[in-house]
Amino acid sequence: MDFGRRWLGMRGAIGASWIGLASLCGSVAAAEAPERVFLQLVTPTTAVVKWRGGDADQACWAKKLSDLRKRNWPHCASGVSTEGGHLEAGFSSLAPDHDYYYILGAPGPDAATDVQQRFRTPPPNNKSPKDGNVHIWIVGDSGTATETQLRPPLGDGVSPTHPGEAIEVKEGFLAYNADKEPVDLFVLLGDNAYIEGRDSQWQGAFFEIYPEIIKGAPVLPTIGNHEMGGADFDIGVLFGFPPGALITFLGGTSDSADPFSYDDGDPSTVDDGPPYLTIFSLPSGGESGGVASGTEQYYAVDYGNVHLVSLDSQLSNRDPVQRQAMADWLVADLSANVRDWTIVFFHHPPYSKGENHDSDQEQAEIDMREVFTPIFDAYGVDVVYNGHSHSYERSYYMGGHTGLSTTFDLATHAELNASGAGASGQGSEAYPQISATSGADDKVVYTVAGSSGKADELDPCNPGEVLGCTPADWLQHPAHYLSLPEKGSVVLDATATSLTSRFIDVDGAVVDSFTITR
Amino acid sequence: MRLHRVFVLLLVVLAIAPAVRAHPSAAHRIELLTREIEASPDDPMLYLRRGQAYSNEGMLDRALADLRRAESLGDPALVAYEVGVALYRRGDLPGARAAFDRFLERFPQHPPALEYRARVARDAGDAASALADFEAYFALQEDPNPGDYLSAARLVQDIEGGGAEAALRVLDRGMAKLGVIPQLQQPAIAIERARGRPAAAIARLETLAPQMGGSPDWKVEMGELLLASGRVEEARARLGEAGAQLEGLRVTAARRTLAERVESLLAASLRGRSDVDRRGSEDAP
Repeated sequence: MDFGRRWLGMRGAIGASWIGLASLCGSVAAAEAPERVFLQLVTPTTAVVKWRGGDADQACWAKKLSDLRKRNWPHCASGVSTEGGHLEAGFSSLAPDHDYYYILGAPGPDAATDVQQRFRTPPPNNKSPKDGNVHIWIVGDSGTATETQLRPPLGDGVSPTHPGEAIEVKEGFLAYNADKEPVDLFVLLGDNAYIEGRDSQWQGAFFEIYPEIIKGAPVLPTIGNHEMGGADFDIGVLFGFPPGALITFLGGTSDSADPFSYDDGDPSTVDDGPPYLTIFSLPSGGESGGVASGTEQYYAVDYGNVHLVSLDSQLSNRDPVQRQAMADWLVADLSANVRDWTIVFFHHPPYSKGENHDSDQEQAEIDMREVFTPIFDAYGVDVVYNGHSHSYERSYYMGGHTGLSTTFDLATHAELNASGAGASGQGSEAYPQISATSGADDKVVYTVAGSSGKADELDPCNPGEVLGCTPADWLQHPAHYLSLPEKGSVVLDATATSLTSRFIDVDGAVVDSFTITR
Repeated sequence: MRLHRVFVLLLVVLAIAPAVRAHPSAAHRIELLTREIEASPDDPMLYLRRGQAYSNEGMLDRALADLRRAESLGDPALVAYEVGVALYRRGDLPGARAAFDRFLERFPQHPPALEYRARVARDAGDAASALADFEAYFALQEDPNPGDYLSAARLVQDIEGGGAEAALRVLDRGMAKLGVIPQLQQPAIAIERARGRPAAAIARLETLAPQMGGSPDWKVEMGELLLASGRVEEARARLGEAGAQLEGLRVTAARRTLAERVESLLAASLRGRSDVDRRGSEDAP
């Protein structure tokens, strides 16, 4: 760790805890709507609802919506005040694999019921849900609703750059999902609130974009570079100017391992760590399954027959010892994992040829590839999802590759089809979880899905130009089966025998898919 | 909290918020500061900033010259932290220690200064002082990263005469704050094993059982520790459980390696059992 530069090492509590369980139900029904309502920490027998704003001071839950209209309905929990002005209420003694409704405020005939405030508890142990499927929606780099032009002299600092595009992606997903089950889990791949990850940006780019989703599905986030504010950046050198000629505060450029180095770029405020860690309540103590990590920066969750791991490629990954601690934890967690499917997600992609983000060049991506992909191979991780690059890039079923893209060899690193080409993962080329060649679960499909709020477009770089343009090898990583400059999101379905990943475009069409079977 | 924020603001204003930070080139920054010093030759903050920049670039003589100038123009206590850093980087441990002492006397709850002074003590072979400063540092942290404790434990571990104990204290303090987590307990187990205390290692491994005790990896590690303790039959039972469990789990590279380790340990346990039997017969009247 950098011992010499952690000036801001003291702060208020981050890492909210919730303790509010059953309590009296007697206050008046909520009249004012909260500005944000979302689910966290849903286990087979417990759940946490978190909200901010409005006048509700408790939450109540029931299997039937009509029960919440009973004046003396007993299953209510007080809202416990947590950081950032949020309230949290913990639901307890839930039945596994059941649907529940909840309200904020008091039960009774005038209760503020909302059919979207419905969630399903996961089944216990390594079982599939009653409907046979865990249905997961994944978005990356979706926070463009609050993205504006860069500050002067690079832009006006105000005008939106991608208005309506995150909504387009959501509408595409909703069209695709219209005849399917509600989302069980909502996974965020980072950069979900541009440009500095301020609380107000989370409000505009996340809570106001996905309100109906996050009321009903627990949110599993990971830290992206834009969750960590920004830094003064010598951007001129990227355009061929001499050093120091064009220095500006730029969101997303922090390379510190210290959360308290968070800088929102507003000199009138004293920052106290990233709002990301204030907003979300994450299972650092193994509350949702998996092994306790001791930090909200990385964590694990079990949901039925699926094990999910969120790694921290933005902060812990920047410091060698913190990175090693995260790797040691991951090995311990995966060693104890016996779920059918293992899903890992983090922001910086180990394999990408995105605009501005090349996994051969960015140190965070190189470190994730060199340190963590061997663990994924050895411990049976099935799929890895990342953001950062604003495109869709999907790999072959691959393993054993930690070098630069030029060292990737299809025959050595990927599962092949009968013709000796890289298998597609589709139809008869579905990937067997146990590799036919090695006899072990030692292959992974890596997917970059960082186009849920914008997609980079072909714009060839001029000589000497390296930023804001597409280099000659853009979207041409040899580990990738398919690379597309298209907006969209990913839907992942896990049954007892198959894991299918689909990339859904803004029209709701399935543009790519692959399946792993077991 | 209010005092804390005031303190942070003070530091930001006084020392760590130069106009140019992070990525801009150090040479350019030094050049800018030199120009500012030419315009305002009696401003101690400018010398402090340029001294800090020189120090970060390894130009320690120039750094110290600027910092001494800042001391002479302003409040020396505010400069003491950077002086300590520069002296530490130059290898002057007594000088660095004295500077950090001066700074901490004025700002006793300044985490980076406590960390730096702990490193100075570590390098001087003073395990007790290093541990005391690390403990004070961690007491100020509400939610540190597990890696912070690991880093501190590594720093003190190799100090002769008490390094292992100090490292264990750091790791245990981490677990007292963050809960029992493998990334801190496993290094503690490794320390206990390295100093020939398998019983203490077993006690630590037991604390991971609620989360990991069902896994074959945990059972194999426990079997290995039990073997090292001479508890051969218990070890064989654990290893047998792990081996049977591995046969029912889907094959991964890690599990293959673990299965080989089980075989190897079971073979070793047979030798261990014969050793125990032999010792038993020799001890018989």
